[in-house]
Amino acid sequence: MEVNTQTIIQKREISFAKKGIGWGLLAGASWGLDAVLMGMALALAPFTNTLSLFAAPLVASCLHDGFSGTWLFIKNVISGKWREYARTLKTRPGKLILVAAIMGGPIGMSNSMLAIHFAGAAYAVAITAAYPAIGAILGAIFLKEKIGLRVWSGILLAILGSFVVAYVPPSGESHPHFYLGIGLAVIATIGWALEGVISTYGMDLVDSDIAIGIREITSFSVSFCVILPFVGAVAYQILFASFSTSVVWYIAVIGLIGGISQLSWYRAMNMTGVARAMGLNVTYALWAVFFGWLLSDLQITSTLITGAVLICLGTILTIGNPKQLVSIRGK
Amino acid sequence: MSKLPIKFRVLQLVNQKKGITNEEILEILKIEYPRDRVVNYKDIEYYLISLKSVGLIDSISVTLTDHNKLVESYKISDYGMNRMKYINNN
Repeated sequence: MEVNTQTIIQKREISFAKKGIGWGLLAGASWGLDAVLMGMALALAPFTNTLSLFAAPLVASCLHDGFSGTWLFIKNVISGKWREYARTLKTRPGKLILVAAIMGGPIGMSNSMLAIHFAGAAYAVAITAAYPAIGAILGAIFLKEKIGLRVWSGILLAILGSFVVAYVPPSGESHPHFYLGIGLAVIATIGWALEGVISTYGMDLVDSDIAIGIREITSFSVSFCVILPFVGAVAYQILFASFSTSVVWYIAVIGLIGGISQLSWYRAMNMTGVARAMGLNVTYALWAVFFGWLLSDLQITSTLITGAVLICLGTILTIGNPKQLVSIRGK
Repeated sequence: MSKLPIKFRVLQLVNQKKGITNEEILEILKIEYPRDRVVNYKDIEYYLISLKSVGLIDSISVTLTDHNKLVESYKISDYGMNRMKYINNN
């Protein structure tokens, strides 16, 4: 191979790795914005219904995924990939994407909501913030991803930072089902980590844009047909009531931002590996503070600044040297 | 027989012919998937780099044409061979 050709190839592969990092950063930033906007939407009727504490977030999450799935389908129609949905679903890697979708969407999200209800936000958030570390461990074991000490330190710092940012001191309320809540938080954490590893394994062959399209539609369908019936009739009351208010349009727009975020996250996992993509995605906690300050009345405290600094340091260490990302996995 | 997803077919083509180039792959796919706009130089290159970065295929040789276009030939790796079970069983 000539030196000139070799240089061009190397540049092209480093550029691919850098793009993967870019997608990971975009995933974190847009997820932070998504979280802030969802919080604002949940303060509007009909999500203020007090008949069930966790019905409103579950309904909002179901609607959000439905809209995200629709936007992603439109994007894939425009880019000429829509025929790939049916072709992919007939394959085993395509079916693995369905499993990953159920792990991350209904299992991850629903158990996280229930964990907050049963054990309180302080403990639930502390446990679920660890999902990138579990994802990195599973990625190293099952996908043989090469993760150096620097990247490990970065992931752990980013997790610590997101924990500091999201931490809510225990309110002193009694939680009669506290240990059930802790167990559900652990299940949510494992669900999100497994989603990353299983979908990345599937995306070795499945186009990441199709994988996330399938993920969002599956998440919506399972939430609508399986999770909401568990909550009861109140969930469907809230869901259908939302269509007669302007809140449904807000969620449609938030679904677009969520769709961009999820698309970026899946592309990052495919291009840079699970460990780094999750380490970058967890920066959403930092972005949520920024957008919360920009769009709502969030006050910046010294705790938030400490968390933000930890996340930034963690992100810099996680990104590392893109030259090392040309080959993600060990042989 | 139903068509494979395009990225699956790319790996299958590399498995079927050791040393196949990106340009040969693109020409075959244009015939097999005439209505798919995703079958273009840029998207197929993206699939090939993606397959290479996760270790499913390896590069054998690369040449630069007079028009400054890269022509790269590929072979399947052991890991890629292992993943062929997901393609051959479809």
